[in-house]
Amino acid sequence: MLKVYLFIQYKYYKHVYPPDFAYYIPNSIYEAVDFLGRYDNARPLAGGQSLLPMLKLRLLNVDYIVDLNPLKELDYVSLNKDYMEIGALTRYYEVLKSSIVNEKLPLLSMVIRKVGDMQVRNMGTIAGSLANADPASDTCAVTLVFDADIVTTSSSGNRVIKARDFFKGPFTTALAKDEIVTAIRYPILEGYKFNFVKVVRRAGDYPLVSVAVAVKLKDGVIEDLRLGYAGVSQTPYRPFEVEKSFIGKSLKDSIEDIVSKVVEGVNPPSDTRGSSSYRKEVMRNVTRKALREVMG
Amino acid sequence: MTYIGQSVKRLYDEKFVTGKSTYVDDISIPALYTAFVRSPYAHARIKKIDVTDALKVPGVVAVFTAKDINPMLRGGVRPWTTYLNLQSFRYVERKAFPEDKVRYVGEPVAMVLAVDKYSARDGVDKVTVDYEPLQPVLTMDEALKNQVIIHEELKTNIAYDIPLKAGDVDKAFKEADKVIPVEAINERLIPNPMEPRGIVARYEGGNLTVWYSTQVPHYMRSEFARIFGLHESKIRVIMPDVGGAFGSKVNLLAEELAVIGASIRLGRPVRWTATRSEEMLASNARHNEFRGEVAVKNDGKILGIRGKLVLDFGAYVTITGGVQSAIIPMMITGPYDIRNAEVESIAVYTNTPPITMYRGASRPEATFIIERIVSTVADELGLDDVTIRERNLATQLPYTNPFGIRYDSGDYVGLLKKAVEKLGYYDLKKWAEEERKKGHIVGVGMAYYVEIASFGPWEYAEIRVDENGDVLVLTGTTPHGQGSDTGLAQIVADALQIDISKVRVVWGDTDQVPMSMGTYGSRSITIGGSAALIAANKVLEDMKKVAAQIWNADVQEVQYSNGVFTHRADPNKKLTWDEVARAAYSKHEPGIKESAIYESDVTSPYGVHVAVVEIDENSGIARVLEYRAYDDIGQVINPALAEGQIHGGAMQAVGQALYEQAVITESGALGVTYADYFIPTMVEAPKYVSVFADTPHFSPYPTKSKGVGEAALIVGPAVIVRAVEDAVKARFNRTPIKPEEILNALKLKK
Repeated sequence: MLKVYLFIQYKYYKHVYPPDFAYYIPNSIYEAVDFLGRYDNARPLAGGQSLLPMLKLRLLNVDYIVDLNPLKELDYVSLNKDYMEIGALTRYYEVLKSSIVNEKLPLLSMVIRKVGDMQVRNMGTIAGSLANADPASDTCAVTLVFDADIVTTSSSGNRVIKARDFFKGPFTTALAKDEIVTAIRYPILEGYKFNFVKVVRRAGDYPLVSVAVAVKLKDGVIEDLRLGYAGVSQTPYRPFEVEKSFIGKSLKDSIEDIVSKVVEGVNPPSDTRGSSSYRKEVMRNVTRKALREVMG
Repeated sequence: MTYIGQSVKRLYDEKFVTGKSTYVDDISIPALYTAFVRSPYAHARIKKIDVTDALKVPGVVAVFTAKDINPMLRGGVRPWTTYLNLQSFRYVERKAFPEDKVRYVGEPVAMVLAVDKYSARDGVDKVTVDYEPLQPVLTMDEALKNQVIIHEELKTNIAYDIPLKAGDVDKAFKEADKVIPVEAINERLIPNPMEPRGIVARYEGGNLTVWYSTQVPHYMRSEFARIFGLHESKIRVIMPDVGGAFGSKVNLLAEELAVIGASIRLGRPVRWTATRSEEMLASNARHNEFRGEVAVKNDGKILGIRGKLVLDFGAYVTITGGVQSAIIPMMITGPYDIRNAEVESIAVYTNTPPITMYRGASRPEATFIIERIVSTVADELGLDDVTIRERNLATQLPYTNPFGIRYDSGDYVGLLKKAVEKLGYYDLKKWAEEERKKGHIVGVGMAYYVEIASFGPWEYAEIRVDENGDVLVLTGTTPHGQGSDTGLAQIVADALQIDISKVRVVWGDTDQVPMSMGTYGSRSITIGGSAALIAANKVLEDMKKVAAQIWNADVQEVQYSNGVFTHRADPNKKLTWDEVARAAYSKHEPGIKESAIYESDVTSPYGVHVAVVEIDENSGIARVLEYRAYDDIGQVINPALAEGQIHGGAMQAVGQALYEQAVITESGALGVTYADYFIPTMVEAPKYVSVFADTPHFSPYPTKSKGVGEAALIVGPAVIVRAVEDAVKARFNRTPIKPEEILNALKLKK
């Protein structure tokens, strides 16, 4: 079947100077992924909070922008039996406004409240952050803590990718060329305690280090422990082995052991925000702080 | 009615707060847009520039390089002749484009002119430049070695090297009980005005009009005349609304010479508005290192200072880069009575973006050095910060420091005592100590400053009274956010005893204001206000003469009070201000207009500021919780405006002390986004307390004011660094103090 696409040469923002690109408005998710599959160097646009700055600085050259924003069917939050599903076009702001998210996924709310700044939260989306896979993204780290199901759609249909299998490297994911994230399913963690500690030098900055914590305790003994870090590795980081090794132990007595072990598996970057060894030190400190606070 | 001393609301803010102000970029004119091809190398020979493909980009009208524009120029950018002696500097006048080699990453090598900014930017990607990379000189230490020379013509990287010596330094060190080494380093900053720079140039029929985001329209008119070989009378420079500058817009960029050159060459208007990244490249600031030693007596008396100051100029001398090398060493003894000092001031070229002045221009650097010295001495001798200062402050005012800088009026010891009391310094210290015992890492710091404000040599003002009695004030100062225009209106309204709503203040257009110096160096209210005050007094005399004529009386018989002229002998004779103004225009008289030039030199505000910092033990990140200021700035014209200057300066001091550092990578590239350069936000803003001396010491100016535009950034970095030292109990000699350094220091202490 021959499809006719509408191309609009479109200067997107008045004060942005990206190179020329063609702008495509799909009528359906299928049209979007079909287009992405057919054309090289095409990028989907959701909230645009990373894509547009990269285009503006000409760090990224694209031939086509596929605007997902008209696909209103991807803008929703729905509570299912044991998970919450958030559509790919739901803005951070909408997620924060949702009382069921606040009630059922308090950890997600804690993290999102501190994503970027108000302007970023008004436009940005969880799915967009996941697809961008910035190693300093708190959204990616917390999604890994939930080990959420990332629902994707491509021309060959839908699939579900576990968060732990989704992040492949800095700005690199398991998504195929013609595949987009359409929803994220966060499991409802019942009986857990949560905490989120984020270290930023100034408001709105990328985290130097952040840690999202979910811990299930019975009489002070760890039944489940999940730690998700941003800013310390090539991808969002979860020390799965360390977590597992403390199951059955008293949290109170284990904090210092956990603190010293979590840094073993990482080699944080050195940049203007701090050296690798400084990041490790802060990683230890925020882990200690987060766990102590969880114990109350 | 008196306006002076009242917190009159800013008169001209509506357009700013409703987004209706007119910056250069808002000016509608059919101009070509410019985008620049910039060097990716810090140091490289330009072998070939190929513009063929760029010219094929739809919308591109022309591409110019050095060979097109430079031959039009009879000169280039040079140091500020108002304040600097050209002979003191080794420099090459910078032209529009480099002809032989590039000297910093981001240096423009070609300009693309197009019908819109997108095509111009696309054209940039199609210009091919062949470079032969050379060894870059990225640090001051490397530059001093002179192994690689940045400007071959100069045969050295040293742009300025002048030693200053006063008193008997050797004797002072011989007599010392102790010699204490000291160090004070300011890393490179970026001034970051909200409005990036912009320019529109139009050349028609031999007349050049330049709409320009600048602080000094008249100085720039002279520079354009000199550089392009035009008569000043054929040039009009218009400064529209300017969204901040902090000194960085007393700066003539190579890019701006290229824009004017292109408009002359093409006979078409040409415009350029810097992107944020280009703005960050346009002006860097600070970047200097002082290392030396102090001779002291055990009682804390400082006998002498000697040391070496090394400053970075970046790749080229700018109009204001040399201010720092010349003035910092002269002010290095601060408000203290130290008679023996020896400082060698050396400025070097490096393959980095050029340095300009930035809010305070040399006084922040000098204050940081002397306050580091005094606090270091206090620590080494086990004295407290107040005592050490009390023992060294100058007591006889006026005081001429050993290098000839004259501080005009004040009571330095008296203010110290008053400030310590009013700002609750010792209470804060006690509180901090208690908090620290509870594990809350907080600290309190103070520092003292004296500065020189209201730079001369003169300023112009003109006042016209129209036939309705309304008053137009033309000021040579060029307010660009300060609100000093409101202060000038207060001064004039008071002098003329009329309602302030009758006064309008205008500035910034060389065709409207005959002559001017501009706004910088905390000068507008004091020297600009004094010129306006004198012109206003003349206007009032003229008005009295008109009234006298109406009454056929002698001018001596005319009295004036609150908008009403009366006859001394005949109380029934009354004329309102408006009636007299109208009469001045009757019978084809040209109305009333007076102008004045006020000539004077610097005056010296001084004060004590205190900061409270809190440190996060997990990350070492410091936050300034409170910033308190006690200043003697002479007569305060508008307390709200003055306080605003303290808040803004303190906020930038928070930035300099804890956050801001322009990072140059190993390849020589400056980080040109706010992901790399940390400007504190409102979240990081401290709580402010600003107190002005209740018994101020006036300046000799008619306004009696001194100046407050830079005070908090002059002393603030020293204050905040001292507070961090108090919290961490470790020494920090460099701004910004990074969280990592603090965390390491805390760890060492444990």
